[in-house]
Order: sequence, then structure tokens, then C-alpha cells
Amino acid sequence: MQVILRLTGYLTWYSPGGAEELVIDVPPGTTVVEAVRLAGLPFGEVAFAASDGVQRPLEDTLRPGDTVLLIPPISGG
Amino acid sequence: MPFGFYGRIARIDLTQGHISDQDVPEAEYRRFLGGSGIAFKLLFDEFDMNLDPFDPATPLIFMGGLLTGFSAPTASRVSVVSRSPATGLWSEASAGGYWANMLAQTGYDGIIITGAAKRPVYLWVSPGDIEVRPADHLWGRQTYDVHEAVRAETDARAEVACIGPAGERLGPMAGIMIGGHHTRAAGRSGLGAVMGAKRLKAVAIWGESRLAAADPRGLTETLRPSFPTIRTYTRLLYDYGTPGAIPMLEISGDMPIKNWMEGNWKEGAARISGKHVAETILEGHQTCARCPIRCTKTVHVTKGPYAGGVAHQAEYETAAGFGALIQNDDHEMVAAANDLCNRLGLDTISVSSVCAWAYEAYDRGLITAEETGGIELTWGNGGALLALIEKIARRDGIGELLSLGVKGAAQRLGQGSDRFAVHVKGLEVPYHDPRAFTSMAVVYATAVRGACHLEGLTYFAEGGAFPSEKIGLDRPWNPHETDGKAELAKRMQDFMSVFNALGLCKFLIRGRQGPEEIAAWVRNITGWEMDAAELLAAGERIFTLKRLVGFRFQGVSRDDDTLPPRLLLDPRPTGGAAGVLPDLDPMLSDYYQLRGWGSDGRVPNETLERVGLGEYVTM
Repeated sequence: MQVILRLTGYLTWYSPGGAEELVIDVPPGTTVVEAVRLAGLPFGEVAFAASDGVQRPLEDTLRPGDTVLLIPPISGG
Repeated sequence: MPFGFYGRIARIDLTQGHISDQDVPEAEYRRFLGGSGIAFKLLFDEFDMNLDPFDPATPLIFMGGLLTGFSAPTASRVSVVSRSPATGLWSEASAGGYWANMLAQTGYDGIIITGAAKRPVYLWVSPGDIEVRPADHLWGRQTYDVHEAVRAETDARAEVACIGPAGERLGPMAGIMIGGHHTRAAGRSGLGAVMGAKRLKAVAIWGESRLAAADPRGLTETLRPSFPTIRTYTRLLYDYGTPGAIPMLEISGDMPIKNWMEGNWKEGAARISGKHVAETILEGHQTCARCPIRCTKTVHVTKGPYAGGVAHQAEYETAAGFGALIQNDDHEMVAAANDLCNRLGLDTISVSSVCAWAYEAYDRGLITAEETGGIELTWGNGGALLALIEKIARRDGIGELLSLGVKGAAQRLGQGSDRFAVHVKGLEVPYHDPRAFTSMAVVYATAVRGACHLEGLTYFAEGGAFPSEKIGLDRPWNPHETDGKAELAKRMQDFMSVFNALGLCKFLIRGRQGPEEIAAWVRNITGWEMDAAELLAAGERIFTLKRLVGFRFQGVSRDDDTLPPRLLLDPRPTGGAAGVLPDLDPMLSDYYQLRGWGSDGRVPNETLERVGLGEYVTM
């Protein structure tokens, strides 16, 4: 099934060509964090996920056609 | 010898030239762990707390952490403790690098220096010997030179902590620098000036002693799962260092812009970010002792009087201060300013803050070009920084005013300039905005040494970089609301208080290491049956002891636990924290109640008993 990952902040530094949106094929039952791994993104750098403006757990199972906004953590020194 | 530490501290009186050993009982290590925890315990029990920072009798204490010398990840930090000339409070600053690890090989857990030498000196601590050596030839020289010169005179493997010209001139923003051009700084609260008042240019150490762990095999097993977890959750820090976070800090409204007045600075943030640095001037990845994170970088210096050299990369705080705070988007000038501060021995947070204050005063016509010696302090003019920094270090011209820090400079300049002097208790506020993460309002207001982000680091929890369920708060956080923030601040302060005592770096929490993991390392190393609850209780005890010193001897009260007007009254106009102001007073009331303090900041006897400080109960 196909899902869309939308990247915010420095997550685009880790996507091919700095893309802000990745469309990827994942097996049914894939969770948000698994999709992040499958997309080749550093999953430890994803703190929050949201769909349709509502936050969802990183362990949430994706549905076909889901669009997920991925947000990295705030840190700094 | 006990497991995990020596129980022995070297004491050096520079006035008398007297050197002795002091034993500290194991029971005190279990209560206060080590590092700044033990240092404050010794301060309270053995010294006059009313001493002026520059009084020769005032102690300057270097302490390794309980876990330094072992393979616990990031166990590399030294705490320096004395009375701050910036705030008047008993204070601490800490640094990573390799100095603390070497201290753990000298046979001492710490060094207490009192007195003042008649002529400049440095200390040389080597196996079985401590020497006070003349340093007239080093006085006036920059830290990188001193580092190399002292190594040449002692041992090429020596670790050297030293001051630059700023510390010699007793500037209240002077830090103590370690590691030469691979600089680590015990920068905050002016402890380099205390060293300067003692005419102590450097402390060099080398040794081959080895501490013993109670259960080395158990320690290896305990650490095995931690390393991959830490690496997974700190990837950004390895790839781009602390300034890698800058784009998110700009989006969230956490990074201050134009002396905390503006809300957005997207293009500028991209230019000073760790990624742009990596693509342009990065020289290499470096590390502190025992660290799997490796956030440290070196860069090529391309501008200023030291162009052509290699220096420590500006950390986030420095990049924000010399970049966003004056709207300077020239990352090469940021690198040069950082290098210059490190050479001269200055704290980059305080210096950049007073520079931004000066830019605003200039903009408002309160400081003129005639007074700056022709330096144009116009927003965005990064080129002015280098001249200002030189003047601040040498207390020359406009630098004499600015060397006082924002509180002192605003008091002297007057004309309402204290309205935009951003400090708490005289220490300039670091660059995480309490209007973006309201828990930081409580952290800054109540921090022991004045405005300090590291004493609470609650924005990590609110911003998703540390799961707060690890400290018993399993709930989502709204960064702009106040609900639950007092408890978050209290619990994080208790947890963070064990880090300088153990010698650990606080980036461990980004690597998902919590009290359970760290308590297991303490058990394996010391043999104590310490669980997470006892570890956090020690943190609360240490934090309370430090605040008790301020309450009891420096007259700190609730009136001092506040924020500067700019952060309480002036909302950011745009961006991720637009319109937000922290409602500090109710959060502070909740916080005092959670701590068991009186509403005026008094620590009642029953609270002292509860946290295990019964010896300080007053009749």
C-alpha cells in the first residue's frame, strides 16, 4: 500500500534530494515508525507524527493512502 | 580503597604554598555522589559562605564525577565550583573533554584551591607530587598557547585547564578553558575570574592510577544495550552537532532573535545551522572521553585575526548568540567569534548576550559610535563582534562597560536599559525561550546559579527529545500551557542534579537514558544497592543543598526567582511561539509547594529532614 510522509525541519536533510514529501510503498500493517525506517530516515530523529492535524502515536498502524506529518524533536545544547 | 572513587581530595593553599590531602567518607559520596554534589557539601561544612569571590580565602574547587574514569557513556565532565563574581551566588560550571578522566587517574577525586599567589603560578599534579610552578611567562597569553606551553613544560599527555586574559583581568564573564583549540569551557558565571584573582593561570594534571569498579563484568553487561540506543536517538548530534537543531528551534520559537524581540529568522537560521557549517567549514568530528554521541566538531576559521586556524565548532548556544541574537547570518563570523572567546577565556553565552544588549542600546541611541570607538553596532553586523570581544576581554573602552555583563552594564548605563537586559540573578539567559516552552520559565527562575537551561532541560521533555515517563510523568505536553509544568521542572531539576555529580553529559537523556539506566551504572561501579528512587532522592538533596546556600547566605528569596521583563511582558510577534507569555507566578507557587518550601523561599526544617539534610536544620 502507498503512504505519504511529509517531513518538517531538519528531517529533509535526510531525504533524497532534500524532498519534503516522500511517497512510499509499505506492506499492510506497517506502523508509522516502521514506515520511517523503510523510507531510510533516521527513526530516532522523529518525535511526533500527525495526520489531518491530529497527533498519532509512532506505533500507530498506517492505512492505505495515509498522509503523515513527521516532526523531529527539539533539543539544541 | 572504595569502589568507584578515591575518597581523597587534594588541598592547595596558594598563599602559604601548603599542600595536603583530605579524606571524604564514603557515606558522603553515597549522599552527594561526587562532582558538584560533594563540592557543595564541603563548601557548606568547611568554608565561610560570606567570602567575597575575590577574597583569597574563597575556595575554587575542581571535582570529577563519581562515574568519571569508567566506561559509562559520556562520563567525562568536571565541575568547577566557587562563588560567582557575576551573581554573588555560590555557583558551578562544568566541562567535558578529557580533563576529568585524567583527574580520575591522579589518585584524587578533586582539587580545592585556596589562597592567592603573589606572582602568577600554575599547578602541576603528577604521580605522587603536586607542584606550584611560576607562570609569569604565561600571564597575558591566550588559552591555546598556554595549553601547548604547559604541556611542553610538564608532559605531552597532560590535561590543562587554564584562563585567558579575561580571567586575569577579573572579568565577571571569564571562563576556564580546557583542551587548547579543542576547547571545552567551564564557561558560565565568571569562575575564570576567581582563578585570576588567585593568580592561578592553569591546572595541569597527569596520572596513571586506576579506579576499581565493584562489578566490571556487570557494568559491561549493563552498558551493552545503552550504546546502540544512545546512537540511534542522537544521530543529529553526530551528523551536525548541537547547531543541527537550529531550524527546529527557529520554527518552534525557541531560538531568540534580535535580543529576544523578533519571532522568525528562517533564512538566517539555515545559514548558521550545523548543516551549512558541515557543508562549508567543517574540519572533522571530535569527541569527549567515553562518549558514543560525538557531537563535537572542529571547523576551519576563515575570518578575523586567526583565519587559517582550526577551532571548536560554535555550539548551538554560541551560534544563536553570535548569530540570531544580533541577526548575523555569517556563520564564518560566528566561528571566528567563538574561537576568539575561547582564546581569550570568555563565556560565549554571557558575551553574546551583552553584545546583543549593546546593539539594542546603540539602536536606541543610548550608546553612540563615539563611545564604541567607531564600531557600528547595527543589527546584522557580525563584523563588529570581533572588536567588541577583544575590548571586553581586555576591559578596554566600551569593553569596560560590557565586561560587567548585562546586569552590571545596564545598571551603569541607566536610561532604562535594564528593560532589555536579559538575565536572572545577574546571569545572562541562555538561548531557549520560556515563551516557547513555559516550563523553562520555572527552570530559569529557580536555577541555582541564575539563568541556566542545563539545571532543568525541560524543553527536551516538552519538545519530544526525552520521554518524561522516565521520570514518572507519562503525559503529553502543551509547550504554551502551564499545566503540570512546575512538577516537570522540579522532577527534571532533581534528575539533572545527579549529572554534574556523576560527571555525565546531559545529552544522555536525548539518548533515552533515564534514572533506571544510570542507577544501574552506579550500582555496578560502586557496589551500592542504589536504585532509581535513591538516585533521584540524591538529586533532590543536592539541588536543595545548593539552593539552601543561596537562601541562607546570599539572601535569595522568592523575589529573586523571576524572569526579566522582556520574557514576562513582551510576546514574540510572529512564529511558533507568537503571543505566548509564561504565567510564572502560579507555576512558581505550585513549584514551591512541590518542593516543600515556604512561600517566601525558605526551606523549612521538615523539608531539610525529608530530603536528608538534617544536619542543616536550624533551631
